[in-house]
Amino acid sequence: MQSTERQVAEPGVKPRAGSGASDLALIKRVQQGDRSAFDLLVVKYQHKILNLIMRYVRDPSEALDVAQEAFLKAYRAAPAFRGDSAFYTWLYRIAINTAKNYLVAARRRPANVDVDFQDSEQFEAFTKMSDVDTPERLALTEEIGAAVSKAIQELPDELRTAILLREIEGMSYEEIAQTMECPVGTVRSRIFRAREAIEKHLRPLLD
Amino acid sequence: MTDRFQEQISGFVDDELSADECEFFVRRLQRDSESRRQLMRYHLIGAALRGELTHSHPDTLRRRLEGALSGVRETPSPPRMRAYVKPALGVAVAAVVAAVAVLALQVVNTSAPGDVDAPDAVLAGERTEPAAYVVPPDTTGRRLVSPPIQLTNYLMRHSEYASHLSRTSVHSNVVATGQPDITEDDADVTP
Repeated sequence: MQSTERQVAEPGVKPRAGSGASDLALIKRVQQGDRSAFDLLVVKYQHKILNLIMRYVRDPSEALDVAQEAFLKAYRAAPAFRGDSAFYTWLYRIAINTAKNYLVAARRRPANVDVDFQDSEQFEAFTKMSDVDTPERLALTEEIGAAVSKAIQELPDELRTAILLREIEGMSYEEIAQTMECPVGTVRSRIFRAREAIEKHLRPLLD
Repeated sequence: MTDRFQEQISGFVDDELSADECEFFVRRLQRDSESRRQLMRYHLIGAALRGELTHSHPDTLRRRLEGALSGVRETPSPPRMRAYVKPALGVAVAAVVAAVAVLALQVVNTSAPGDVDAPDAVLAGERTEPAAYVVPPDTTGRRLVSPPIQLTNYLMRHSEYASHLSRTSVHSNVVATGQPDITEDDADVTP
């Protein structure tokens, strides 16, 4: 594969730092048949892609369907990914196209269509989807957000600054080191310790 | 899991590892489930900080994809390759069969009486003629039998030992006795 370039930012979002080497390593493994590597790419970009699609598709459950379809398309097209662009740029284009196609198809569908549950497969699929997003599970998202916010406030100043510059501002370690006037190694260590501290608050919710 | 490796997980999340480190790290992730879970938690922290968490469960999409992909073949092969596999396989099989047939024919044609080692020599690869996929037509009109056998057969047919059934000349008829026939097949038999 060719050397990577910085990821092209979607409108309104700062570009993320980094060489793209981690995405390239993962996509290479996917091309070799390692499905777990694709799982890690999904973990990395699922929230970003879902939020992107929700700008086009308002309904959260439909947005989830479209996001799933976008990732499936990316998985099937993975062997054709040559690394000419950053992986996220490629995935971003697939997601946009999938959302637009969905909207075009949605306009063609009649407005008032009653869901007919005589088809047992349809009924089963509907109930399964409902089971995944129970009220308890939906509340978990809010709890996670609250736990992270609380943990951030409890961090020492240098750790909080380092992790916010990284996660919110999207700065590289080098840029953060210049901003905080410390070595890159110190930045790496501070970000890691900040994550460790936040993770301790999250573990009871996730286990 | 050492602190150093955990710090590498953090660096991987931020795409701050070198290409070599990334490849090594990804290979390790394949068999280290605890590291994978930690990586997922770090990504979740970032999503929460950026306000990216949606109303659905944070892991819903990943779980749905996991289920959907379990029905997909493990290695999605490039679609262009598939079209050529079957015909190429057929051609390969046909070529092997043809080569074996030609080799067998050449072994039969080049073996001679008394030349005990000829078949072995052919099998040992001592033949000098290159293998051909098509048996060239015999344009010389010559029978596919070695000269010593031809001479033997001539003598048998025209000598005093020729049987009355295979005698083809006046001379053999004149000098013939009641000796048994010797055919080409017998000449091929090695002692």
